[in-house]
Amino acid sequence: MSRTALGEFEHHVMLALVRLGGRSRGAPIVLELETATRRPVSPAAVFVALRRLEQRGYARSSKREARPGEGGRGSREFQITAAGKAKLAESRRTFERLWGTGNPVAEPS
Amino acid sequence: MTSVGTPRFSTAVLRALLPNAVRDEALDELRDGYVLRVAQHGRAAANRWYRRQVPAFAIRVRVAIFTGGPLAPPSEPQVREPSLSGSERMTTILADLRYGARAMVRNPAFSVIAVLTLALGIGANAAIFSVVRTVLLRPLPFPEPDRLVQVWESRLDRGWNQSSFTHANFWDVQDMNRSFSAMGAITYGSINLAAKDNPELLSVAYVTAGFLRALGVTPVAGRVFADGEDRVGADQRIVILSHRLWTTQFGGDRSIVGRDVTLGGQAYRVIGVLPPGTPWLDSGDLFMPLRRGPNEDRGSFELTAIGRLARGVTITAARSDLNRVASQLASQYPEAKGMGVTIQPSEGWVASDSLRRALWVLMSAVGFLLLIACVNLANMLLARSTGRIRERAMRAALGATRSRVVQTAVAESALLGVLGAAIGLALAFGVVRLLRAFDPGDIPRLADVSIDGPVLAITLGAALVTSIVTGLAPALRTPYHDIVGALREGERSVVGNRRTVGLRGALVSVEVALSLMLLVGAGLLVRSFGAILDVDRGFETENRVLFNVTFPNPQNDADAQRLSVLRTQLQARLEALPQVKDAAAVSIGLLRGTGTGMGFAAQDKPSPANDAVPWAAWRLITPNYFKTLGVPILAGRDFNAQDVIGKPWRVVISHRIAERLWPGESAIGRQIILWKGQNEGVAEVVGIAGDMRDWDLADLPSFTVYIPFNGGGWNPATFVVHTTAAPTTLIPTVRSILAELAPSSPISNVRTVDQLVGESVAARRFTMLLLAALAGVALLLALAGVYGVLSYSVSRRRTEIGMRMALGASRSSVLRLVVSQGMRAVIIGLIAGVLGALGLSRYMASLLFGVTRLDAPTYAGVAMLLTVAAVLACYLPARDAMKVDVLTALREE
Repeated sequence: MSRTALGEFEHHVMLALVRLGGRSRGAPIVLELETATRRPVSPAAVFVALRRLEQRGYARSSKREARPGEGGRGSREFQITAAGKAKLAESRRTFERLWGTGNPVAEPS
Repeated sequence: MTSVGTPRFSTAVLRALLPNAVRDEALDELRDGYVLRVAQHGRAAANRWYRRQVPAFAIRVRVAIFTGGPLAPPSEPQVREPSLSGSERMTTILADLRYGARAMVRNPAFSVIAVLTLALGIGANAAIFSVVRTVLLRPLPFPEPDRLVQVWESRLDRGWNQSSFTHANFWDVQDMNRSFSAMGAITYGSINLAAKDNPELLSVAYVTAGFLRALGVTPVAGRVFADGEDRVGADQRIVILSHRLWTTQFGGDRSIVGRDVTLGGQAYRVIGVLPPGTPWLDSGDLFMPLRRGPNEDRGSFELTAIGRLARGVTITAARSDLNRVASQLASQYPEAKGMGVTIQPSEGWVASDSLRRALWVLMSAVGFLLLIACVNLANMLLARSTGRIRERAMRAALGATRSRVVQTAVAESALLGVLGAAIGLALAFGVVRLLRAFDPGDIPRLADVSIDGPVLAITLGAALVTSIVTGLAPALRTPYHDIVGALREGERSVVGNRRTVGLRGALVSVEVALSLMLLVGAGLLVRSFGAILDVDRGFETENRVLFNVTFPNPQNDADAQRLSVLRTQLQARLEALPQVKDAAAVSIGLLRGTGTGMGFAAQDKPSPANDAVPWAAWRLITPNYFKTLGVPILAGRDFNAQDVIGKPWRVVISHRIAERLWPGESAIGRQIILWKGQNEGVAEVVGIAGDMRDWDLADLPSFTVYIPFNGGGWNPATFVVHTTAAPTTLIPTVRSILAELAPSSPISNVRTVDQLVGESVAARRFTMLLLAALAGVALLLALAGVYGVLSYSVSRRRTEIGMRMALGASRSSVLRLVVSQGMRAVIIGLIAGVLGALGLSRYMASLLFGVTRLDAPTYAGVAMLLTVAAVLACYLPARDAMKVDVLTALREE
């Protein structure tokens, strides 16, 4: 079912979505990624990645209504799909197989 | 309604840049992030973050769509704006233009002011740009001008970076170099053309055969000089006509080639006619061969040299090649000791450094003016767009897409732009005519300046870009998210009305800052101009007239003696005239730029070996020269009739030479070495004259050595006459005296000393007046901006002001309220402007005289002027505010 493997950034975005309870808008994902990677993360990249994940069936979105007085149409909220979870699990297994049991690279202390 | 205050401008920009399909989602998502960041890091950090995201966001989203298709979720079909066919689009554009025209007619005052504002900015730019294009950017009228260079001797031991060539050194360098495909030299003289009534004095450019060949000149008729025609012994009497002389004197007749003309009493065969052009081609009425003699002089620096680099030779390579030649000559000849060579590209041939600098300063100034005009226009459009928000909301409600609403607004402002450009161009035509009429005489090619195709195209382009960009910002402010509110409440619903006022205040600050910079520039030039007129010239100007008399050129010593006698006779006849106080003659007139020079030293004080030899100008003068010009003899005596050049050598020196050679001692009776390092000679100092700024008022008084004219064959002579009344009335009398004494000797270059002073500062005056005019226009526009913003703001706050007054606010407190609101923006602008001027004035430093670029009085004066003017501009709307009738204002609500 996997046409292609997840890109690293897409992978990160999905993991962040999972960490945020499997359901989130874009902005908190940006912050979550910045905290985890300790680097500035482009909201535009997350914006694009979420929509590509949705097009591939790993996430789905719904529109949240704007609160009164807020203007605008409300931002999209994304939720990870079963396919998405399966894809994550598959990626993880792939990584584990590749890493094996030993520790082939010394962690910098 | 204010919980989501993302930076407004960035949001507008991003809104414009994002594709329709994702615009709202993207903005919402960014706003989410912004809100989170405000909570975590504070508003300032969040604002910074937000601004950084704008370009990245737009680019990434567009790239993603381009490479990977639309971003919309698969289930939802995209809402696309119906795309219009080409002809439909054309129809809508035409409709929008009609709509824009109607809007302009509906509000004529607005339209007229907007168009005029643009026209001023555009017109000034078109005019100055056409000057810059012609004077600075047009290539030289020679093939492959980048291969042309000017060559100078240098004598670093004497502190000269650039000097003319000596004859011998020039010929040797021409023979020995391996860098030039052709090399040539030019020097100047004059000759009389026999004419029916008054003989006419023509200027002659003496050129080597290589000169015109190096330039690559193709003659209009006939030929240029051939190799060998610049040897002594070749046919003496050949001449090439300049284009100007050919058309004015010979009616542009091609058959003149091959015929003889009588010059200086002898027949010369015309061999060719030059094409028109600047430089060089217009540096003489006639071109004659500069001949190479067997024993050329190596001590007198007289020739201007140029070269055409051989193909593939760089300037650097040529420089090292020529310096090899120079050091060879230096070791071979004692007179060439210390010789080097300097090479300069031909860029500076047309416009001198200071002219280039002045024109670029003017070009920047008109650029500033255009910016100010844009800011003003943006301000006006912003004000109006707020007023017309209901109209746009209505169109949006009726189904107009955003792009359609923007297109309408852009069509309107483009219409303004085209009209502004049209009127601006008319203005530019006028300005260019005016500039040509005010030609200060030393701006090359000024007569050729015209508004041609490229200037037209650039102007029109600038006008369209300007007006469309300024029109776009307000157009993007349509409240799509709140159409209903906009329809219901009209102007008052505009979100962030305060911000609009803030934005307009910022625009006012920009205008004030820009006009302050221009005013400071103009002020510095005005002060320099005043300083240069006030400078201690050292000589008197009132009722003094100068004219040249060209006697027949002496052919031998006996001729020279006769010439000297003639000169003395003429002087005596002049002095005998009742309206003449004093008269004298000099070899080179005042304020004529370049002249003769020599190294000098004191004989009794050996100068240190490697000390640079000081350089003095020298002038031949008759007795009474100093008295005629009102220059004091500080010590010793003036020349008298018994002083004859070289018999024995006696000189009068200027005060600065005395101070330099014998500081604190008497110089009278001392021996001075003249032409030091050349053909040295020793002279006795008989007098010390007051210092004069007689080359250029902006230079320090020159070192000058005065030598008796008596006994010399120098020709022509410049006569200086001090009269009791208007000096030019003397000239007919002079002509009749001369007709008696020396019938074939023409008078030329009649100028009063006042005129000479005026001419010597003409280029400065030109720059100063232009910059002052530009600064004045800028000031007016800026004030109009201040006034416009404030009166708009007052008109919007009528209710508030009425309310305040109803509650007991005094008129003066209302006045303060309005004025202080306006002055805040002005003061910010003043500060920014002063900082900008401090920085930018560095580019003007070389144009200044007698003031530093940081001249405090100029800055203070300009700031004062702007402040006073701005207070006035603020006062008018404030007065309107005070007139607000409380009841009416409240009823409006």
